[in-house]
Amino acid sequence: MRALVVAILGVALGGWLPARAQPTRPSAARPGPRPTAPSTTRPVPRPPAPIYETVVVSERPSVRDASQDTTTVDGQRLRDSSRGSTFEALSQQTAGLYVPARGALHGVANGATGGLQLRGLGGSPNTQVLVVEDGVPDYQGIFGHPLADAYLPLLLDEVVVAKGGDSVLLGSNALGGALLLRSRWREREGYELQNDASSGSYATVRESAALLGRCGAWDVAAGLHALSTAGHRLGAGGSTFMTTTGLRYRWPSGLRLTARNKVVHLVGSDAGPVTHPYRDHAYEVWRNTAALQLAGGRDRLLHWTLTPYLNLGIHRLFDGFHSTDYLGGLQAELELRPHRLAELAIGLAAQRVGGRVENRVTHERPPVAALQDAALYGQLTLRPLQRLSAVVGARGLYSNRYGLVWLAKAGARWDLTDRLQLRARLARSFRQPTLRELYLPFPVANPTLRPEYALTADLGAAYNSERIELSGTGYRTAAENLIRYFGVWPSAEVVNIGRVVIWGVEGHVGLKRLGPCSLSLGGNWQDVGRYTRQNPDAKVNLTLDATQPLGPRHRVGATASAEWVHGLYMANYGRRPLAAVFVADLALRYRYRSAARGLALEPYALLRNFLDRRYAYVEGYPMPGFHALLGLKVEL
Amino acid sequence: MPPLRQGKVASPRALPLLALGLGLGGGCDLVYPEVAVVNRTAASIQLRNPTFSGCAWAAVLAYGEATTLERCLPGADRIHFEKLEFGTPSDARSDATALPVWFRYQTRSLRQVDYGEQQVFEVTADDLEQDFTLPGPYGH
Repeated sequence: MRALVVAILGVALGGWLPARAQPTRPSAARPGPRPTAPSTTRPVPRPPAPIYETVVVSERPSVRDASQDTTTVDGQRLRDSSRGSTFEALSQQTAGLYVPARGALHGVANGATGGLQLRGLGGSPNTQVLVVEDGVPDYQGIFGHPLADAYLPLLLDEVVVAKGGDSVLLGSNALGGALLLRSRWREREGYELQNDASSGSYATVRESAALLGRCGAWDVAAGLHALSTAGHRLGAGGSTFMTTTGLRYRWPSGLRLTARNKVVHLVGSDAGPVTHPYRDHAYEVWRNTAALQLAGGRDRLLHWTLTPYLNLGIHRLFDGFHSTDYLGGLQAELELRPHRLAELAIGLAAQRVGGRVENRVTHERPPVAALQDAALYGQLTLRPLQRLSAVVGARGLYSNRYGLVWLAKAGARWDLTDRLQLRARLARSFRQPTLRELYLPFPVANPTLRPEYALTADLGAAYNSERIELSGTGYRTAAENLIRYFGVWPSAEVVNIGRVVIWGVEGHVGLKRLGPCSLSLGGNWQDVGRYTRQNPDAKVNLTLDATQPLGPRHRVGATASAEWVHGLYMANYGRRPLAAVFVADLALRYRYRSAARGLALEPYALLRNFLDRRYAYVEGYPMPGFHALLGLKVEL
Repeated sequence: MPPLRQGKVASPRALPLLALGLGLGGGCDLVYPEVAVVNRTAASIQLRNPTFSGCAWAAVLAYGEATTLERCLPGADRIHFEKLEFGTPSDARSDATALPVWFRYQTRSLRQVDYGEQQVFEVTADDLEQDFTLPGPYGH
């Protein structure tokens, strides 16, 4: 075992020498006179409670609609995942979420993948599933979709996959649902440093580092991620570089001010269809997301937040396309409990999206008019019985282009026992067209597009015990005015289509702590009607975990995961079918932890597609065969 | 677990595993099949920019000429290329202002390659057909 660890260490460190920060003793690193507990277990005199020791205010729960069907994925599971990106790792945990890939990077522009399809809505690019990062909507101003390569699991506390749409609370784009990302903070005094360095096939080198700290009233959470790969075929290489910085100050009164900033630099290219590869379809993206949040409230009787945010981006493509875009807004929300049986959330939200586009080769400069809207919304949760929750909500949104839009939802959750619950929900959600769909003739635009609406109904039951998790949901979405592209340039068009009905069932079985093993099996089957493009009929995900402690300091573990996708088409009306996808990954880990030294070492091996299956989510873009990534995690 | 020492890292017992790790970590693309394409059509036919299973050569091949060896994805594919045949309407040399027209062609037969192989594929005149398979762009 020791020799194996040495071997893996050698590979990981030989291929990549991370910029390892020196293991800093917390007491040496912190300025200021305040004594704090060191991160070791040696007994030390506990300092007197400082005056800034505030009332404990728990993090707001990510799931705020008790009747909504959700899947919560722990950040550690995402960090341990063998999948290539955070979205793909989430897809492995939620059968209703489909995320195509084409290699190590998802990319942007033609040939890009990473679009989210949640229970039949989403698309490529994904504009119907909203990504919300610490309460801030995250998408690109002109293109209306998130950057799939721009999410860093190292600093994630948890991600909630909220299904069934929730434009009442989240606004435009939450038509099919939302991914609610919550970052983590250190909850105790001191600092911790985590470094994850790996290298592997296709000259892939990956480095992630995170620093979490709490010093008195200050919290810090900073992360860095760099990935470079040559790709599994010509043109599939690229690199990403991300930094994220969070700083929080807590006043004794319970007031908290949080500042966050994320910078993403993405370079790559579209490799093109494997039969006709491209050599030079390159892209470069810079994005910066900044948010400030002021939050107050001592307990659940009253809680308020004020959140301004700004998301800026620059996109450059090989053909001369150049754009700068922004998404800026302000959210103010108040949660209060006017009665012991009722909780009320009311909010005000305003945002503006805009940008500028030009082709620096042809000197085209299509005019782009910014979209802006303001909304007032509210959600009331009533608990007339101890085990029954009823949720109603409404949002009135005024858009400078589409006028007044009314959205509403209603749902109920009945906890029959401590373990068994029933749930039903109806929600009307919407999405306004993106600036690209309205104005950019690449390949086609249509300024007369109308917003999309979806009415989603779902009914589900769940059973949870110490060892067994069972859940099942039936859902039906009736969507109107969905925006779809048809044809190819120069005869392409983008139009609103009529009424579309999607219905399906999703289920999950979890078996926990069966000796050293646990198992998760999820499945989703849906009828998406005529619009079958990259919208599969069925998906099954299987994850088998096994962990075995070897004494107090040592632990070995393995995770086998598999995905099966059936009913994939490259075109609507069931045209251009693709072979079913089946892929399996294996992750092997060994962990050594010394509490006395405040040190943990975890060498690991990710054996991706270890059955060497030949498969593709996208026609002409075969995924890599068997390949491996070997790495080392260090925690101080 | 005792702390790792210099001597332990270099112990003979660890070396095979280190080699295994290096092989797993860096070697998948090194066993991709190597492929070259040779123009065996006719003296009057030139081939340009052939592609095959993820490989793309930026080259013009006169009769008998071959591309360089490149590592391609394992699997089956046709050889795709642009073709110019002298003495046909596509060869517009009689009009000094017009450029010759290269038409897209592919082999009718599928060629199969697998890990570790080295293949030299010949394109012959009796194995050609027009190529309408260029997929449209996917994504956004």
